Amino acid sequence: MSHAVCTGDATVITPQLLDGYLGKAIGAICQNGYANNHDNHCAHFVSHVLGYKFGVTCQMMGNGNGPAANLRVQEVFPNCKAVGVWSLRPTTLSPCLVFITRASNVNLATKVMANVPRKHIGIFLNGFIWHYSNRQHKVIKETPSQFKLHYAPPDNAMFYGSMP
Amino acid sequence: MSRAWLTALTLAVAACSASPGTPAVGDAKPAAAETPAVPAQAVRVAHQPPSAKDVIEAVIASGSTPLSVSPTCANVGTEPSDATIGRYLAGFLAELTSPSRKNWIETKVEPGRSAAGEPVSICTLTLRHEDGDDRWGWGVRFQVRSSDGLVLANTFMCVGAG
Repeated sequence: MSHAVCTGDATVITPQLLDGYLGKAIGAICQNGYANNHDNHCAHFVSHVLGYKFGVTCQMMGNGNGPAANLRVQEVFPNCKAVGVWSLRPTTLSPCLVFITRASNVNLATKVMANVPRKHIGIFLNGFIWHYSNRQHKVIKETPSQFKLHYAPPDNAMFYGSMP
Repeated sequence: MSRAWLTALTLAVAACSASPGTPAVGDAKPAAAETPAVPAQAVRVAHQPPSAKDVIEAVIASGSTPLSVSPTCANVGTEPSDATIGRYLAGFLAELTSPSRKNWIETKVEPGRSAAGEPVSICTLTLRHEDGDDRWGWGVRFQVRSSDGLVLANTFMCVGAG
């Protein structure tokens, strides 16, 4: 997988690009050796695709010199230019980020998401969400209604975030 | 791992996270609301290199270390008000209460060098949980000076992803 796409520029994100990650394990995406299957790689995957190098990265925590990618959902969330509940997402906002967690873990006014265990992130584009399944150890693509089943209620409130 | 054991560890870490004069565990006002303090007493491990038990003991004894010790610990608490290593770990320990889920404590000890060039043991403790897509590992990493077993309090960092 070429990492030349990791520009942080949302305009280069295409379904074809994202489909190129389908079925890949994080070890095939991250060049820094941060690929323990017992870790949670949802933000890690998103950050490699979109080039998010802020905060705590796989380069800091791993053992390589590949492109750095943020590891933590709660650090990506406040970097979004705008956030809100999924049902109120502007129809023109695509691609964007999608988050799922318990609603009480999120303060939209202060743009803070607590570091609770059950939180997850994906990339929304053209009606689908690409995200890293930590259970299946690979990138998958789902519809928003399928993504909402990622956690059982009440941990499945969905939020959007415009690309940092 | 038994639920009783996890409960005991949760209480121990939470208790260590409280500064002198702060409310005890169970009081209405959370300890994390108080200004955290660096541990008043030096923490030393019992063996060199540290055993898994030594690593866990060192973390419990360092519970009052403030999360401001490292940028890697910014906003790692399960509540935004969490301010100490003890409060941070207690939040994740509290998630391990179901006896039907897979939970474990992972420790790792590797040789290394401190910023000053001294031989150290690099110790990592990670609390892990797996239940389908609910899968995570959060913990701490710190250095223990090889010459005298001193836990270098300012080397604490927070590890974890997701």
